[in-house]
Amino acid sequence: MSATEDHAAGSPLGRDGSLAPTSGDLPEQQPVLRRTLRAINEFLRSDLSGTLGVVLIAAWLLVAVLAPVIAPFSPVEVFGDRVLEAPSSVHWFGTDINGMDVFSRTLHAARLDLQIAGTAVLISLVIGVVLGLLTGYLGGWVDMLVLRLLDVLQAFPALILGLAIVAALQRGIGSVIFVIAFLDIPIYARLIRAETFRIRETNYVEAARALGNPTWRILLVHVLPNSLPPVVIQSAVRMAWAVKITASLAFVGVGIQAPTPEWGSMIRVGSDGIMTGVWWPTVFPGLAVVTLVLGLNLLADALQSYLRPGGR
Amino acid sequence: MNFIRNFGWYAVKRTLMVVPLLFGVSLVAFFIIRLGDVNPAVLIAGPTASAAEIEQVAAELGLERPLFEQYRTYLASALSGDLGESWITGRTVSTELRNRLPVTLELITIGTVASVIVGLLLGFVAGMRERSLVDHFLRVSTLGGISMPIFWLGLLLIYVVFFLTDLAPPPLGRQSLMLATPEFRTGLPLMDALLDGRLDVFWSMVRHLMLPVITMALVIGATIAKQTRASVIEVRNTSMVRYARAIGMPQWRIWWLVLHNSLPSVITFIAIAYSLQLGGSVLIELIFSWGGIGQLGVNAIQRADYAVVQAYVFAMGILAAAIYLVADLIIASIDPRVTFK
Amino acid sequence: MAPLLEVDDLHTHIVKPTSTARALNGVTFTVEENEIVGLIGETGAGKSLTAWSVTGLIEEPVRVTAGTARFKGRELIGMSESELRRIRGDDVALIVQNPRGSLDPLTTIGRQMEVAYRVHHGGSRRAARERALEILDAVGIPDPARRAKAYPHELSGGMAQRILIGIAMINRPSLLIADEPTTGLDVTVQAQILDLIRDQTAEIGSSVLMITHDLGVVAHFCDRVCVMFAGRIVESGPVDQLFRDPQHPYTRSLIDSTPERILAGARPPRAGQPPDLENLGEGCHYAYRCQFATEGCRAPVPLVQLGDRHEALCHFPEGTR
Repeated sequence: MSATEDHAAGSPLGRDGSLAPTSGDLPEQQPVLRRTLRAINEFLRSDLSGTLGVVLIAAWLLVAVLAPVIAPFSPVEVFGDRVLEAPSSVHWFGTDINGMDVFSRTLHAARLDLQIAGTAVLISLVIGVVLGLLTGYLGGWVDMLVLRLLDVLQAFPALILGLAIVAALQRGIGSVIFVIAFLDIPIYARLIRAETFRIRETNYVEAARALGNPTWRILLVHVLPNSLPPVVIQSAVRMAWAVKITASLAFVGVGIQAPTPEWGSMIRVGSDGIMTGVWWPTVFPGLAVVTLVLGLNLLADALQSYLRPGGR
Repeated sequence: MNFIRNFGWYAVKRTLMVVPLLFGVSLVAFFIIRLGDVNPAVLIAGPTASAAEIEQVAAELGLERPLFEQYRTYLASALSGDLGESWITGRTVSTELRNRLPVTLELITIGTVASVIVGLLLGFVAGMRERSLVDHFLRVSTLGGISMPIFWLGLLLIYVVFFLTDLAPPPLGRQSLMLATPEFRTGLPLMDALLDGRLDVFWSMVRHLMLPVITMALVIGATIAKQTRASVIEVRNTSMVRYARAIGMPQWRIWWLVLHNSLPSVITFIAIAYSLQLGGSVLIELIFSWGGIGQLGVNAIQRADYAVVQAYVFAMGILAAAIYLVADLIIASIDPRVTFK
Repeated sequence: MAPLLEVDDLHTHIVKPTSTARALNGVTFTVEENEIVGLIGETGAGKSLTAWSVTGLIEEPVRVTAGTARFKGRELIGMSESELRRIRGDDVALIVQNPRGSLDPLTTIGRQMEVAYRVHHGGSRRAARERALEILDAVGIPDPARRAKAYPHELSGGMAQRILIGIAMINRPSLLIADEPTTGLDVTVQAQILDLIRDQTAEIGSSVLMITHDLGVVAHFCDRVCVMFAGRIVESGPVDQLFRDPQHPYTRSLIDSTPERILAGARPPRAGQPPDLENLGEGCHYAYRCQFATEGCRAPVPLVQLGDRHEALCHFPEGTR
């Protein structure tokens, strides 16, 4: 009775207005690489916001890679005589209370945030997928136990748990990556688990099993490709979240230590000045976060409409 | 077919499910301070403690005993109200919680109410009038809202509304520093001000609430609006709505049909928003010097006051679990499919 | 006597930025009072779309581009939404397939029936309640007072469809449009539902437009039948005459593909591709699939009268081949 079933029932009021079933060449017959490239091309062409997202992300990736080259100053160089200078032709984003160039620091911070986000999401993806497959396959009490554990984990507001853990571990970047990965695992695990359960119940799995194929292999072969779209979409969302939470943790003063350039800690340092009108050490790093996170969210949204139209 | 009886069963089952969850929460809180390499007694006693004091704390924690016994001791004392002492202030943690928790609850509740009003309204209208001006405006602004770190937006608003245009009071707490704080009765600042008959303090509090609440409404409201819109669109395109039109329902009944059927999802989002606020309140309280439990927790983390950290984590976990419990029960009261076995 | 429903040359298009699908291309048929007309065709022929177009339930990018649909003499195409709402559910009722998906899962079925009644008649909740219980009984729901408190997900498919029939009949409509009401139901239940529809409509004196892809339903249930293909009625006439003496090649192939015919020795026709609605020509839309097609079929197709309200849209109806 789901909405998708209704659409499949051939109602002429399908949202895309399609009536006749499509015949024509079977896309599975074309080589994988060409298919993927065409899909990417189609995707970029179809959705302006998705393209914008990709552009933003690519821009920041470029900045992160080239930061040491394009930044005018070292991110930790102190200009003792030019503390809290407003943006000028020399210091494009001004200087902060320590006399460091905000522009260079903003650029360099991209390296850190992207590294953390990428690593953490990758780790959580791998672990989460394996966990989801395991619980989906084993079912029974293993599944119940893991589910309860995940529930407990997700019972806490993420920021608070992250704060406490990072503070307790008292190590820098490593613990930040650990915490983000740790908090993201349940999301991937649940995704894969749901998909595994769904596939387990299908007829073709039963048939394959009757033919002698081991269940685990069947699940692997079917679950992974089928869950690829939501996993990809989630990853974009997770990365956006990772950037935000790294900044939040650093803003609170936990995880990333001074003088390492990080957007959140830069905002922290700059926040004292806001009340007196010193806006530049706060605004620019924030804009950096916003544009990067926006890019990731745009990509996620566009992927969502492209890969899963009509669903949430 | 007896809905009330089914609901009763579900309520009992669902509430019971919270118990193992609470155990899990307490376990997490218990382990938090034992994660690193440092002796937990040193963490709790604080950097200024003497060797003798550390010994004493170690004995209280029972660090020589097996882990399981330590946990039992911890749980027993926590349940009896003894959550240790803050080495920084010397006050008991439970006192601190008692003072600070209502403050945060008030802030979060008002913030969530504002977010929900903004988010639901905009999301509903955008969902019902797809591709309209409202819809486009909403999609752009929600993207902005969910991409902005809440602390940055707060600072930005302070800069614009306080510094540049002087429309808001300085972000130095819940009320004007020149007025005496109302007597502590419920712990909820607004309530206490009213009970004290101090309308001037009440008004000052309202003015100080403006910026934090607007910040929360913009950021969290954006998330709610986005999800509401998606929910509404999904419901709108079901055969149920088509059928409703086919039997001649007037527009307002259809609107109610869509809204009613979106409610379960929306309530879930509200619960998520509320728990997001729990996290976000930490940042808001820092920026606006609110003096709530978020600020307490963060200060404790920053200054290694681990007795407080432990209790803080525990309290937040319980709060979040309670929120989801309430949300689940509300959804079950609306949607008979949940309790149907 | 004026027909109850008169659809004349109805055209409905689905306009997308890249293409236009011409889903209905001049649908013309009538439904008289007190008769049961079947509308049969394959998936995508435009059967349901005809019903939705006539009742104004289509939304952009689907729109009616030409033609009229007169119900009791009143033009429905282009009528204001508020006027249409007065007619829908009151004088023209609709039942659909997937009944459980169409009901509000959060409201009891009793309440939903009451609403269906009160929307078109004011009055007290009690009067609506009584009427609802009356109808629940009429459609064969046992213990109506108790069942009225049930929710849709508690019902079986057959029961839910009875509810839809009840909702449809509660306001005594003159025309009931049944859009594939038995699809998805158990075979035994299907017969029950059809009987119920027939009994209820006979009692009130409503006409029925039965949309289906099942020839068996047409054969046992309808007085007349219209065969649809690619948005046109290619043949229409009394049921027994059509079955005995089909004139249009498409009708012939439909009939020949029923199990009974095949068992009796008729050769099953080759399966065909569905028509490409975005690239239809001016001539016969069936020609590409028709074994009797010639060059002349590219010309606009005449409507051939074959006696007693039997018509076919063909260059070479059977009799002339």
